[in-house]
Amino acid sequence: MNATLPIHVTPEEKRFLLETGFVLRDGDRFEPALVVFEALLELAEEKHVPLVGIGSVRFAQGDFDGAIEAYEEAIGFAPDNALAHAHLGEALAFGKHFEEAGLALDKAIQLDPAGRDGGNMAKMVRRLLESGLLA
Amino acid sequence: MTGISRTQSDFSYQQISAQPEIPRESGWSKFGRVVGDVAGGVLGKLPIVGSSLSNMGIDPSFSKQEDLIRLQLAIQQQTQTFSTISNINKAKHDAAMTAVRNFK
Repeated sequence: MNATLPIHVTPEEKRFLLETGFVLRDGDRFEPALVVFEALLELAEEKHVPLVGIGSVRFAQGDFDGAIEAYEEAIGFAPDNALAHAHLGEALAFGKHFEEAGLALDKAIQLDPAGRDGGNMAKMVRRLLESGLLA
Repeated sequence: MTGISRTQSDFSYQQISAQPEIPRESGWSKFGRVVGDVAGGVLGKLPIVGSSLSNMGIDPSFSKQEDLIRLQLAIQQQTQTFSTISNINKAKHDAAMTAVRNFK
C-alpha cells in the first residue's frame, strides 16, 4: 500500500505507467507525460526513475536548467545511478556547462562500465561532447 | 478500485487524445537544425567560392574540384553527426527500457 495514497499498484502496473510516460514524451505529449511521471513519484519506491523521466521531458522541451534540477534530485535519491548521471551529463552538455558535463558522464561510465544502465548513453554523449559540435 | 484506475483518473482523456503540443525546440531538434544550417551554409557558399577563384584567374576546373571536395566533406560531416545522434538516441532508449524492466 502506498504511504500517501490509499491504493495498491502492482510492479507490473508501475512498469506499464513508466513506459507510458516515455512513450508520451517521445510522442511530444509533454504534459500527460509529466502527469504520469509525477504520479509515479508518489507511487514508486525508486523515486530517481520518475525524476529522470521528469527531467527528460523538460530536456525535450528545451528546458535544460529544469532538466538539470530534476536529474540532480534523482541523484540525491540514488547517488550511484548511472542513468541519472548520464542524463545529467547530457543536459549539462546542452546547457553548455561542458566541464561539469564531462564529470557527470565519466561518473556514469564508471558506475556502469557494461553500458546497459546508462553507461553506453554516457559514452555516446561524451563522444559528441569531445567532437566540439555542441560548442 | 484498483490503483491503476485511480491513477488514470488523474489525467483526462482529452489530455491524452489532444493534438501534440507545439513545444519549444528541444535540445536534439535544435542541434539537428544547427548542423543542417551549417551544412546548408557551406553548400550555399560554394558558387561564391568558385566565382571568386575564377575572378582571381585560377583555373575554373580547379574551383569545381574544390567545390566538390567541400561538398563531399560537408556531406560526410553531416552523415557522421546524424549517425552520432542516432546512436545516442538508441542508447537512451535502451537505457530507459532497462529502467522500465527493473522498476519497482
